[in-house]
Amino acid sequence: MSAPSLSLVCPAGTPAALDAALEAGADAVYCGFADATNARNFPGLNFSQAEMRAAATRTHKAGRSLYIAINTFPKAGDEATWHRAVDNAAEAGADAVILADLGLLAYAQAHHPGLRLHLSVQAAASTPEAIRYLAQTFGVQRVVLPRVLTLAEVTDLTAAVAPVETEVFAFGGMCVMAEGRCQLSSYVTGQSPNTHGVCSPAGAVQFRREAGGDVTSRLGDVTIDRHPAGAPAGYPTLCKGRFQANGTTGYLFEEPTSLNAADHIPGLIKAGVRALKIEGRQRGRAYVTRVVGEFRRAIDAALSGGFTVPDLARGLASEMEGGRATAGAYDRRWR
Amino acid sequence: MSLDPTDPPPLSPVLLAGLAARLMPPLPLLGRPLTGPVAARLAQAAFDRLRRRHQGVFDRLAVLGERAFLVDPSDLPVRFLLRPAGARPGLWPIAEGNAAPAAAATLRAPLGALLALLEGRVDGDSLFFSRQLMIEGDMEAVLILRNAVDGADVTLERDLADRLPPRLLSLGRRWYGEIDSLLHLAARAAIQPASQPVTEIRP
Repeated sequence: MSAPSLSLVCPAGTPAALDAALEAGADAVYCGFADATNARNFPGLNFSQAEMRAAATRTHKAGRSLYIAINTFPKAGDEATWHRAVDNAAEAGADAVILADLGLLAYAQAHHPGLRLHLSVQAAASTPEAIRYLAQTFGVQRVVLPRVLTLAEVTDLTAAVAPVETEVFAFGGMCVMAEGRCQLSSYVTGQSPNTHGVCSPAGAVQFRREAGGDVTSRLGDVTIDRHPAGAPAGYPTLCKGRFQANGTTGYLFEEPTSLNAADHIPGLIKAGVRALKIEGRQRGRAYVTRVVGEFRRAIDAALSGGFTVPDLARGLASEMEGGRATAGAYDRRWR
Repeated sequence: MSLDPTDPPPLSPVLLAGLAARLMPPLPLLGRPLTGPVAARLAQAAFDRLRRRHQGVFDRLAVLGERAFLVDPSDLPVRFLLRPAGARPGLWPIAEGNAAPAAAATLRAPLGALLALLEGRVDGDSLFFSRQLMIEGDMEAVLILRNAVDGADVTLERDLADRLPPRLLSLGRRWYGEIDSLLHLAARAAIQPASQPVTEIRP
């Protein structure tokens, strides 16, 4: 039996963030190209082909791995853009591509048989049957699990799908929707992370300062929230909106809060999970440095048997949406 | 005034007054108001210098075209119009009370937080979550600016001061060191409310 291990997979939206992740102790860094082929297609973010090649060189020189997310669903009639992204990832020297679309998995397997395939969370595969099918059909070697599973479910699933590796989210944006299927952003703006690579596109977002210091956030024609002066704020996404219904005002889908699963690191190692993922390719290098550094220390402590529940809450409080943290579904007790 | 730089109190008028008091000795060296012709020339010179040193960043910002930003340090009686690209790129101070020119977006935060953002020492989303950064207007333009700047390696002391004569540099470093430590303190104070222990949500 091999020694326990847990790889730390970290986000990079820019070459500078990639360097920050490597410096802070990432085992692997994931990036995307500057177009609609990845789910963080934000203005001014992501990598050109030349930047991706340079990123692969720097990452490999540091002895780490580079994953490239091509995790949106190709537009009918424009499959060539997504195929080209897979070709470019292989050419740049990616250690793995993170894909969600079945057609794209088939393309990668057929044209780049040596390229390692990871299944994106956007594929929303959460049953042994689905994962086994994808592994047997396309050669998927790792699956990123949705953020809706309990620790017990992650443990069972990891055992059931071995030798396919599992990767789980440990920190960052808390998305509890059926990822890859969510239509909330598309409903309001016509654009979604699934097809355009962007949830709540910046062009549809407006903030307005009200008298008294309140701030109103809007997405398209929909008011998302009104934050009182001094109160923490969250992303202007429909799922984090506060609405009036049946005479009460509250968060209809979920509250603005960040996932922090640091307490569960020993449990995830015991479950056989292969990698922890930090969310946040849209965040700055200061976020990457702080979050990756904290999780590097926590993982190293856990692997060396010296783990105590890390006090990440204070150190990372300012990085958290709404200034709040949750262990999310890992602690879920309801069914 | 004695402050613990690792755990400052929240930003407040009292704290700012204290910081200003600590700056009083070098302030007369400025000799002119923040928005006079000397300040305008200094702002443009600093902008030109950053543009030369970080050409790649400004190449990324070319997509902004003529779009300009109103940068509003909430703790200073001056605002800046920043036009990173277009036919006449530059940085112009605007005195308090003067009408601001049309801008695609406005960014408002304490000066220390804005400089920390420029140098990549703080994450823009974090400043937004903690309500220290207020953005109004064209969010797409703001993201282009934020992501390009965050991807650069801006260090103001290195970028702006390394061609000064040695004696002036020495004087400048002493003064900048004082300013820089106070701005770091102000930046930490600005995000201090969000650094309190977070609420843990348990299902």
